[in-house]
Amino acid sequence: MDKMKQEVKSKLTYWERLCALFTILMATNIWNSFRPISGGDNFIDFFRGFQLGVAMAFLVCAVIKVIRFRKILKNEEAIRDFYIKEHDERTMAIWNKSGGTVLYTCGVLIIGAAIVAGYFNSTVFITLTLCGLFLLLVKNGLCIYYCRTM
Amino acid sequence: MKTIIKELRKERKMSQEELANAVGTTRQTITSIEVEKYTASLVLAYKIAHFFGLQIEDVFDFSDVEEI
Repeated sequence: MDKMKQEVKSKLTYWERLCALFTILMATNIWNSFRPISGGDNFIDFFRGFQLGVAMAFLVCAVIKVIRFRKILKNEEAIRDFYIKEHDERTMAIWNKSGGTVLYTCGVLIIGAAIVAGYFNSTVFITLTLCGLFLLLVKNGLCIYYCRTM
Repeated sequence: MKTIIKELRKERKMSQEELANAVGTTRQTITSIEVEKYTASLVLAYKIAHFFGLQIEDVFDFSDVEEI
């Protein structure tokens, strides 16, 4: 049980840190701390809106996760259920078969790179964003496919 | 891979959820194994067989496995 509890606690810490990070990202965006060096006003508005949207979406997800993990930690039965779900071999097989780790990591890194590139070039920003979203879409599509066939 | 998990479960009047909880997996995994969509790992096969007090080969049918 201690091992299970420790795992939930480490996940809780991870998501709490992400919450802090996305709050900082949102704050810098709202205060307009960094502005793209190229692109017209329309692009700058679009870029800021996109950044704010991404940061808000991740923040909402992170807050939901934090609330969920805190709730799980209060109940031993819930900790066990969570541990079983996390270590279920079929779920792991689906994740591995759909290239989960590779596609997810690449997708998130590409979107991160797109946000950085957005400060310098609008075309690269849009290309990388679409590429990242496409990867995440493929990953989720494959996950759904294998969930039905496995 | 064919199994007799469903029959063993019915004999003991157990639900998939109860078996899943007993062997530390999810109901969906038990369903997939029963309908032969998913082949259990050695560890899970051992846990299931051990739970019913049988050997792995009594629960899982290895006759379809090709020999090289």
